[in-house]
This record gives sequence, C-alpha cells and structure tokens, in this order.
Amino acid sequence: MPKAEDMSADELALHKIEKSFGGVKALKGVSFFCRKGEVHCLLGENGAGKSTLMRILAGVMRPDAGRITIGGREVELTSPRAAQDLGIAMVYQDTRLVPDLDVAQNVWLGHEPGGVLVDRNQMERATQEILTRLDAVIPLARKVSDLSVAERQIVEIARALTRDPSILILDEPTSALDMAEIDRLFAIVRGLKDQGKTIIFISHRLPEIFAIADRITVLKDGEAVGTVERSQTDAAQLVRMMVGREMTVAYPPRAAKTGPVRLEARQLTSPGRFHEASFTLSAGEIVGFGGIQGNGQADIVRAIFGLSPLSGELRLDGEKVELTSPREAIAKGVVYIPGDRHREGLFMPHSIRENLSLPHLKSLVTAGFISASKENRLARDAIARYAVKTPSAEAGVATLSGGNQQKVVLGRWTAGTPRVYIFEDPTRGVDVATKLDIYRQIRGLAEEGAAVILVASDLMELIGLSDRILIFSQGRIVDEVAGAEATEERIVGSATGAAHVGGVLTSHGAGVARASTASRPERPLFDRYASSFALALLTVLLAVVTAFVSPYFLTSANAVNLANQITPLALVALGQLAVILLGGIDLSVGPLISLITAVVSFVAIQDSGLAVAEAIALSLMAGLAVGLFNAILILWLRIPDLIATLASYSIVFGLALTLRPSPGGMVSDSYLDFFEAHLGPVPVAALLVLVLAIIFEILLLRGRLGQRLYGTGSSPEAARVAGLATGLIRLGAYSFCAVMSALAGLLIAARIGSGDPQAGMAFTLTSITAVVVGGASVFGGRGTAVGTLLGAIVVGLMQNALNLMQVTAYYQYIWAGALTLIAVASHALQRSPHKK
Amino acid sequence: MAQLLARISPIWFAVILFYVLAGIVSPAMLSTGQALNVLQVAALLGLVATGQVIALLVGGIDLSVGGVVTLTNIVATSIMLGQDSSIPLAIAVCLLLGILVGALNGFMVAVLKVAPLITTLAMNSILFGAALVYTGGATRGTAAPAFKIIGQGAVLGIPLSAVAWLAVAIAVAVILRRTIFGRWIYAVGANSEAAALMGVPVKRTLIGAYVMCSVMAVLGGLLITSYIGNPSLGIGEQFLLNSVAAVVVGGAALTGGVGSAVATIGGALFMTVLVSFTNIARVSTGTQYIVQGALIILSVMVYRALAEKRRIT
Repeated sequence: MPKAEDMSADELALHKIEKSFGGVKALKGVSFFCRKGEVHCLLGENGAGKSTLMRILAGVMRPDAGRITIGGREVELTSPRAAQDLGIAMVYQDTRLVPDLDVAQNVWLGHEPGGVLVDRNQMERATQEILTRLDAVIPLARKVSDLSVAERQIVEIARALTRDPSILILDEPTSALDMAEIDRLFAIVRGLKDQGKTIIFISHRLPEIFAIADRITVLKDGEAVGTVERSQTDAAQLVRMMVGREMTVAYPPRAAKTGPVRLEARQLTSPGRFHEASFTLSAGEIVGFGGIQGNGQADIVRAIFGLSPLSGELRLDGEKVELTSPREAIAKGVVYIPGDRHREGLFMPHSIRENLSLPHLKSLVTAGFISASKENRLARDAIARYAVKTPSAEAGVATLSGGNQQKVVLGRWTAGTPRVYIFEDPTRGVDVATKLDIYRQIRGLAEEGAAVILVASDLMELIGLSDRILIFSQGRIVDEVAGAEATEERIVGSATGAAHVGGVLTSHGAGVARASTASRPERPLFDRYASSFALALLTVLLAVVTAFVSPYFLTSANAVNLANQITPLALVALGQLAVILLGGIDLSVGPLISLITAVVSFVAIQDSGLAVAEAIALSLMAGLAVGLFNAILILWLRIPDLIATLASYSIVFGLALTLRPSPGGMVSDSYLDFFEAHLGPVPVAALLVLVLAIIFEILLLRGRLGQRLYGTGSSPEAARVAGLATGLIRLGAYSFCAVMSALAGLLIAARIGSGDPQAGMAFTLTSITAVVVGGASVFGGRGTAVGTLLGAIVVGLMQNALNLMQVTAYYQYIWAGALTLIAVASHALQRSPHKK
Repeated sequence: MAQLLARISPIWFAVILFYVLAGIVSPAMLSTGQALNVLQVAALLGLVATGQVIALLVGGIDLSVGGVVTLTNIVATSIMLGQDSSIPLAIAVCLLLGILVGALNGFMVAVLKVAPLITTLAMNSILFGAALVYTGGATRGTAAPAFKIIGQGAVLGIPLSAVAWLAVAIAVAVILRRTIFGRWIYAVGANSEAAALMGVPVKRTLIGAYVMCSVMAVLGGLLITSYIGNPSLGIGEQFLLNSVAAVVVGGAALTGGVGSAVATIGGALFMTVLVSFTNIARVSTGTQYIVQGALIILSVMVYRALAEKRRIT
C-alpha cells in the first residue's frame, strides 16, 4: 500500500506514542490511526493504556515521545485548549464537571455566549438544543452536584458537542448508563458519524463494540496489538488479542482442598449499594468478586472492613462479629488492601520500614517504646518475602517503582496473622513479572490457612486466581461459578444478564440503575442568597438593638463613622473573596495595608493634587507588585498559598517597618479631602465600594468571570480540562486582592492621617472573618460578593455597637475570633448532612 | 559516609555555616558568652517551635501559639504575684489552659473539618483578646523568684533554659519517632485516608497533636515568663511567625508527614542566630522580617529540591 495514500485516508494518526509514570511505562510506542467518519473502538483491559493514550490526544497529558498528525498535519497538543481548538473533544469516564455550577454553565464553561456578561438566554437555548438532540431532559439550572451519574454523562457529552468537534473521544461512556440510555447514546453516536465526525469509543465490553464499531484497535500492556474491521472479526478473536500473552501467565495452582468456614456472611445489605448478599469463605480459599465495576462488589468489601454501615450478620470462625471501623476489623484479623495505592495505601514521604510497620506497632512495643530491632526485623521479613527491590528498608517508598510499591502495600500484612484478606485489584499498574510474584504471594497466604476475597476488575486475573467466583449485578450476587470452569463470557453474561448466542454476546447494556435525582423545583437564586438574607436580617436586628441601647447610634455622625469603618474592610474582604473562591488564602493583606499607609505618609505630604495622584499611583503599583509576588511564589515556585503569603506577610511587614519603624508622618489636607469627600452626607468612598461590590456580584452571578472563579475554585481539574487558563485566573485573583488591599490602605491612611506599620495588621483576620461570615466556603467554589459585603457590615456594626455600649475595645479580638469560628463551624455542620 | 551525611538534616550545616559567617563579620558572635546567650534565647523560640512542628506534621498549622504564649505569660504572672508558693498553681492553670485550647483547635479541625489556618488564626485573636480583657490593658503581678531560676539561671555555665528546652525537644522527638502515638501523627499527616484504613484513630490523633502543640506553647510561655520575669502584653506575637519559620527552615513540609523535632532544634537555633547576628550588625527590625520571609521561601524550595533529587536517585 502506498504510504501517501495511507496518510490521506487517516484523519488522525498517532505515531509511536510513549508515556511513563514514575518508572512504569504506560505506553510503549503506540501507533493508532483513525479515518474520517468512522467509529473506532479502542479495546483493552484496565491498565492497557487506553485512557492514557486518549488523555494525550485531549491535551491533558504530554507524551514522552511520538508524533501526532490531524488531517496529515503534524500538531502539538500542549493543553486541553490547544486540543479543543484542533477539533478534539473528550468525554471522560469519571466526568470532569464542576459540581458547584449548573447544567448550562457546565456545558458552556470556557466559551460561554455573550461578552463580559454571559448571555444566559442564549446559553440556555443552545444547551436545550443540544440536550434535545441527545433526547435528554435535564433541568438547565440544576447544579451538577445534584445530578445522577447518568445525567452527568449526558451533560459531559453535551459539553463536548458545543465545540462542534471533528474528533470525539468517548471514554467508557456506558459504564454508568442503563440499557435505554445506552441505546440512545448509540443513536447519537451514529448520528454524529453520519455528519462525518470521527468517533473514538473506548470500552472493554465486547457486545457494545460489536453494536457500534466500524473498526477496532486492541491495546494490551501499553502496546497496540492490532486493528481489525468489525465485519472481519468475532468475539473470540478480540478476546485472544486482548488477552494475548496473558494466556501464558502461569497462575499458581488452585486450592486442592479447603479448610473450615472462616467467614460467613448472611443477608448483608446496604441500601442502594448491595442487597441480601450471603456467602461463605473457607480457610485456604480464594473467592473472586466479579462483575462490571460499580455493581456493589467493591462496596460490600469496604463495608465488611467497617468503612460503611451494613445490616445482616457476619461470622468470623463461627463467632458473630460487628465490625464498625477498620480498627476493629484489623483487630479481628480482617485486612483490606485497597486498589488505589497512592490514595489509600501508601505514605509517600516515609520509608519502607515505616510504611510496613504502621498497623503492627502494638506488637513492636516494649516498655512503651517501639523496639528498633523488632521493627527492623519485621521490615526485613516483609521485604524478603515479597522480594521488594530496594537498597535498604530506610529508602522512601516514593523512590520505588510501581510494582515494588505494590509489594510494600501487600507486604505490610505479612506480620500478624490475618484470618481474612480482602484484595482489591492487587496488580493494578504493575508489570507482568511483578504480577506473577503477587499471584504467588496471594495463593501462599491462602495455603497458610487464610481466607481470601479478591475483587478484580481484570477478568483474566479474577478467573486465573480464584477458586470460586461470585458475580455481582446491581448490588446482588447473581451467579456463582468455580474458577476452573469460569470464562470471561460466563462472567460478563451473568453480570449483564445477556444471553450467550453463537459466540457473540447480544447487545445488552450493563445497566446499573441509579436512583434518579429528586425532582424538586430549581431555586438557584434562593439557594445563592438565602444565607445573605439571613445575614441581612441579623444586621437589621443588631442595628435595632443597638439603637435601643444607645440613641447615639442613629445619628448621622455615627452613620458616617460606621461607613468609614466598614469601607476599607469591605474592600479587603472583596479581594480576599476572590482568592478564597479559588480555594486559596492571602495572609499578606494586613501588612500590605500598613505598608501603603507608610508609603502615603511619605508621598502625600504636600498640599497638591499631584502629590495625591502620586501617592495613589505608587500605592496601586505597590499593591500590584505584592499581588504578582504572591502569584509568582504560588504558581511558579509552587509554594502552598498559606506558606507563600505567610512569607510575603513577613516581607511586606518588614518593608513597612523599614519605611516607618514607628507611627509618624502627616498626610496633607488635600489628601484627606480627596479620600474623605462626601456626596451630601454620604462618604464617596463608601458609595464607590458599594458600587464595586454590586458590580463584582453581577460579574460573579452572570459574568464569565464568575464562571471562571467558581469553576476553578470548585474543581481545578475540571476547569483545566474545560480549557480555562487556571494559572492566569489565580494570578488575577491574587493581584486583585492585593490591589483592593492597597485601596483600603489609602483609606486607612486618610483615616489615621499618618503612616503606621501596625495599622493594617488586624485586617488579615477580619477580612477572612467577613468572607466566611458572608457564607463563602474556605475550600473554594462557593461565596458571594453580597454576602461578603454583609459580612463586612456585620463586623463593622458589631465593633460600633460594642463601642456605643461602652464595652471595652479589648473584646473586639475575642468576638472577631469567635464569630469566625462560629461561622466556619456552622458551615461545616450544614455541609456534613449533605455530603455524609 | 555519604549516606550518613545525607541523613543529617541540612539545617545543621546551615546553622554551622551561618554561625561561622556571622563570626567572621562580627567576631563578637563567637565569644562564649554570646554563644551561651544564643542558646538561652533559642530555648524560648525552640519550645514553641517544638509544638509547631507537631501541628505541621499532621498536615496542619497552629497560628494560635502566639496567643497561648501571651495568655500564659499574663496568667502565670498574675497568679504568682512574686510568691514562690503560687508556682505550682500557676503552672497547673496554664497547662490546663493549653490543653483546653489545643482540644478546641483539634476538635474544630478533626471533627468539624474546619481549615486549621482559620481555626487557629481565630483562636489566636480570641486568646489575645482574653489577655487584654483579663488585664484590662494594665498588667499586674510578676514571676516568683524561684520561678525565674529556670529562665535566667545556669548550671555549669550552661543556661538552664537551654537544658530544659533540649530535654523537652528530645523527649518529643522520641515520642514522635518511637511511640505508637508519634507514628500515628506522621501517618495521619502523610495520608489520613490510608492511615484510617490501617486502623489509626485519625480524629484522636489530630486532637492529640493539637493538644501537644498548645502544651508546648504553654511551656514556651512559662519559660519566656521566667526569662523576662514580668507580664508583657502581646509578648507571644513574635513567636507566631517565628515558630513557623523555625519549623519550615528545619525542613517540615506544610503538606504533612515530613519534619522532625530534632531538625526543629536546628531551625530554632538558626532563627535565633539570625536575629542575634542582625542585632549585632545593627540591622533594623524591618530588615529582619524581610530576611525571615525570604528564608521561608528559600527553605521550602531547597527542601523540595532535595526531596526530588532523592526520589530520582
């Protein structure tokens, strides 16, 4: 075949793509070609490299080596944005949506219609159009956090379609859909194909692939095994290709005989997860829990281990037990080795020794202290038994390869004598040689008399290692098969309820019916402003009470005084809000205000407009400089924002002290006049801040800016995937915060009439207080400018009220702190029942 | 040999190098008197930092140590009123206070899952306010004569305060490295989810860590009181930032699970030598703060670079 022709036929070509993660090669030079207007299935087991390959294509990861061409032209996919601009859109398996934004906002995140303000009507219309095309009914104003998994999947597909992509990647889009939903999805895919779009469809379910694919490429252990036409292949061939060398993996021999029953489960139930599951586990036996991922098999073992509640009866060696925490489970001899070793299995900064000994510390103690010799012996034994390749037990686990890290996770339980082992995907992301080691070890544990549960998403592993396999579907055990007789078809068939017809499974979806979301009316504005409304009531109440106690409160002199007190705080708090919305914090605001008063006290001393202008310009520049400095520390040097702004706190305070070691200087009258100008009885500065807060609120509610801030703060990963420049957004927020603080500093300088290195220190806490009292979450993604303004008003009002009530000013430190604690604690209490 | 060197925290090289450099610039630094003086003063910061490192080890931070030191100073002097007989009561009340503050911090962080920064920043404000309200702005009382011995006395020429500090710091180091509770602290800080799966009582560990941190701050406050002999409103504020700086310079990471009480001794020494040197060199307070901030940034970067290098080799 002539090469030139080959190139022109391929809309998309990936040449020899390589990618490694910490020493493990996930892609070993994969080449992959797609024609225009075809549905190309990418098939392979978990860990074959499908998702990694597609993430490279979506611009989320950069390949270590290899070339990519689209329409014959070589391209660089440097970011999700770059990929999107080239017409590539990806639908992620574990959806990448922003939970705190609603459906329409998520669909259009990153390229909303409209200008500075989002054209909400246009956006809803366009979203509705796409959803109608997808034959889906989802309320546009519903927050994504309130959607079911299937609905999220649809939203994600809708989002991909907004960019009218020429290449659409669907990463296991059916895993959470029921049959009807899958049929609908397939109709959509066919429709897109008819429009000439190239669709890459990732799956490891053969029936689906035969229903939808034109061509199929099989990936295996990071290599492309081959590409076949659907019409020229059958399930048997594909399985052979998928399994390939796996067939040659020598699984250890199965148990010849099993001992007495170790674990007996009767009618285990956890509503919505698993139902009436009963089974027994004998000594020496490995029992596999199989089925499509997410059908209760993982939930049930976690519940047995005490991680979530369950009803039913559990007997261990005949004795009835109730395991309500991992601690109790371990004490009773039940251990669980989670599949996600980085998240749940390893202490990355620590040595192999410390990782191994943690659950056994009690047995290592003599006279209250951990015996070094006992601990070293334990570590040596585990390292030897699992043949962990390391120079010493003191090496950090972070320095090990993936396979050796997994051996540490398994080896941890060598000591002690567990009765029941629960393994979840014990060989995820490890090389073949290590896999064999691990299989032998697990069999060895069974031979020593333990009972083993194996939850594996890799079917070959499940079949190869298990003595018996229980198959789960929709939270129930639907089938049981002896390991020696199990086949992939039997397991998938039972799990999906599909009939076995002529070697090819009929196209049935593996539906996990998820409870659809409650259909309550959407009240986004109510949800957004309910807490602000309560706060406003509180403010009024506070004002009324104060007015009763002190008649002076209602005088205009006090009102002006109050406005002057609140204005600078509101400014800083609005700046702080921008940072906190992104999940960050800026501690340097206090010293920055002090620094600005010091600067002003040197510049604005002559009675001239020029000097005032100079003072303002210099202050704003100083503010911007501090903001950029913070951003550089956080974004470039990757220093956590807390420590970064703590460092700049010190530096800026130092600068303020250098300029003005003690309070002094006198600002000019023209400066005072400028900043204390009144419009009628109302201070101009207060008016301007009010306007600023309203503009900020409108931008947050309806502007693109708001979507960017909420999106990035609520889910940085989702925002990045949507093509947002998250770094730039953070830089903007820190700069804005610093400039707002500088403005507040100008006002403070006018109020005290001089420079004072301590003048602003209290603002670091009070600005945070105003923001959290105003209802913002310090974890990012939630908060309003209106709430923040009200928060600032409450803080200012309380200060004023207590002054008028003749309470000593010393109390302000106490109530400022107490108010903050109460606000964050009440958020925490509100949050907990929802998220559990 | 190289391996042994790699296991010694870089802070010790920094301390020695910096001390020698300071000595070259101003030979007064090298006198025995000055060295002992550095040790005596370092003890004050050192005790507070020994607590701070525990907060950082569990992945948190404790900005309320400043308020705890201030309140300890105020309460201890007001109870003692210069009477030796009141020393036990003063110490008991202050310790109780520390336990209470730590338990409250820990409860907020562990049970209510409030960010440690916000919790402890608010707590710091409350404690400082409490000290102000308690005194009404005018301090009274003084440390008892016998109580001053520990802060001002010496045994065989070595300042007692340094002896007390090193004893406590080493005891904490042993607790952290060689007891179950200490290992729990490291584990929870490095990966609290994994720790929970291994049967570690995460909440109890967090609360315990914050209590330990506050108690260390109380001990620091008592030593400071003994050293200065008088109440001084706001004396604790200078230890707030300094204690974080000492811990970070000593190699603890804000991400949790990384750091050591022994290296924190080095961190406290380094910060004290720095202040002492800048005082002798007549550098302004302002510059001291600037240098301190820059040092925090520098040490975060140096320790990270070292950790990454170790990962590659």
